[in-house]
Amino acid sequence: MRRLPRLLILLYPQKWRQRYESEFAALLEDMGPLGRHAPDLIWGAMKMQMKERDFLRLALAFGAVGLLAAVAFQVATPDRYVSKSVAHVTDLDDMGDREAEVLSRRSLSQIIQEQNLYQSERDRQPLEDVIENMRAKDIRVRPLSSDSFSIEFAYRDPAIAQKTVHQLMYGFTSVGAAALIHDASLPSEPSGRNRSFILSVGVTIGLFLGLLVWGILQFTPRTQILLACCGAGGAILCFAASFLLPEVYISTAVVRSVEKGIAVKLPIEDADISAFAGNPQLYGDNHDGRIPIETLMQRFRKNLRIEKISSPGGRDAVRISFSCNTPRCAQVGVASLTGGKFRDDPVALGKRVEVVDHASFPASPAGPNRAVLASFGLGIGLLAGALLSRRKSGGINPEPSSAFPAFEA
Amino acid sequence: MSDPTLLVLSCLSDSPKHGYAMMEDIEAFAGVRLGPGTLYGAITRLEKEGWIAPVASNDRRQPYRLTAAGKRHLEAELAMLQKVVRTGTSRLRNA
Repeated sequence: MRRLPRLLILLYPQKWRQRYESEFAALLEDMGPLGRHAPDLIWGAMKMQMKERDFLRLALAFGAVGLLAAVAFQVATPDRYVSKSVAHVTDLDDMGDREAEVLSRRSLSQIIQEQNLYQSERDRQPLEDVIENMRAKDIRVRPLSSDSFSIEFAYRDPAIAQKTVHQLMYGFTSVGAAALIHDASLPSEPSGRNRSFILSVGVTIGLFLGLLVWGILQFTPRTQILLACCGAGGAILCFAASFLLPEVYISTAVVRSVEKGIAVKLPIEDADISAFAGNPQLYGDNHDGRIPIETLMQRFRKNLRIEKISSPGGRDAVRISFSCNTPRCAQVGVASLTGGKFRDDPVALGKRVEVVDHASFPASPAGPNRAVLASFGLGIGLLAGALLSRRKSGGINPEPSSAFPAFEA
Repeated sequence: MSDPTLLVLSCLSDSPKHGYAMMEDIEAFAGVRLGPGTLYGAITRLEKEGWIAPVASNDRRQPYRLTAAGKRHLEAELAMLQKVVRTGTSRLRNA
């Protein structure tokens, strides 16, 4: 008998296997390759385990299902290949402008069209969003030392990844801002997605669900129904309530000093913040200017986040984020600090700081996280159900009956 | 109709069969291919209820037969189904 069916049979309760394993194995042999019937076999094992109420096996069964789901996720997600090129910085003064130009929407849009990148994504999303994702997730420009840097690009086709890196690097080398050290590599292996992390998440979620189901099965059937209703009610309630919470959009921008040794100094003094926060275009509820400026300034500071990041050439660089209830407000919040312009038009701030990445227009909200809220509601609901059942009758099933009396003897 | 227990009982109503033969027979008369987990879930349940019983066999392929209680249960289920079919058909005709 093949190994996979033999392993899957082990998911069934021991008592069940003592009675049915031989004939069940004979059936699987007669059927030939398991193929599409594997999920049915796993689901059958889970149902048997639930009837058997054996915690360890139930948890293992759920853990195994979580593992299989994680493997399926990995198989379904296309491999990504990372091509890399390294260059020596020859003109440090021009590097900032070059990088802004190479990573500008116009330049990336041209590369996407020429290399025919992201075909399926472009069918579903506007090009603007595809470019944002490409810049944020797939392209990495990293400083390697004070006078060298690398460009990496991750894509599902290794040859296209190589061509794209070559084209990106050409944006620097063609004008003499950088000299090539290593041309774009042709990746032979897919990049190391964090496989072990994904697998462990799958197993952990499976084990947690196994624990949850086992816990519910310890109660009497009546209490099980009460728990299921309370859990589902809590999850539905919290999920529904999440729609009452304001959505949060986050816009980001990256600014950098024009020269090494100059620190990025953003306009965040009280006078600046007062001017930005008082802008009637920023907060929708202040269109009539009735909210006290102190309150607006406090809110602005709360919404604003500034963090230092690394930059080629060792220059000082920071990422500015602004969270707000509308995408427009988030973008205006960031643009307040970067000079009021937020498209492909680098703006010098006091001639000491330049905008590398302009204030983005967030297409989708960053919060509230409805899945987390629903899970929270499920947990609270189950807890409330357990407390309620204990108060009523003590709830715990004193003598759980076996599901397989037919073969217990 | 896709209730696996009813399909298995109907399958065994003429002669004893082992698991794979049940799968093939059910697919032939109902157009439903039961998975191995579903089939043995139904067999476990039916044997527990006493509606089917294993037939002595030296082969690993264990045949099952319908018991007298199983026959009575199947007859009752089919009678109810027939009633549902008759009512539905008649109401459709008059609609």
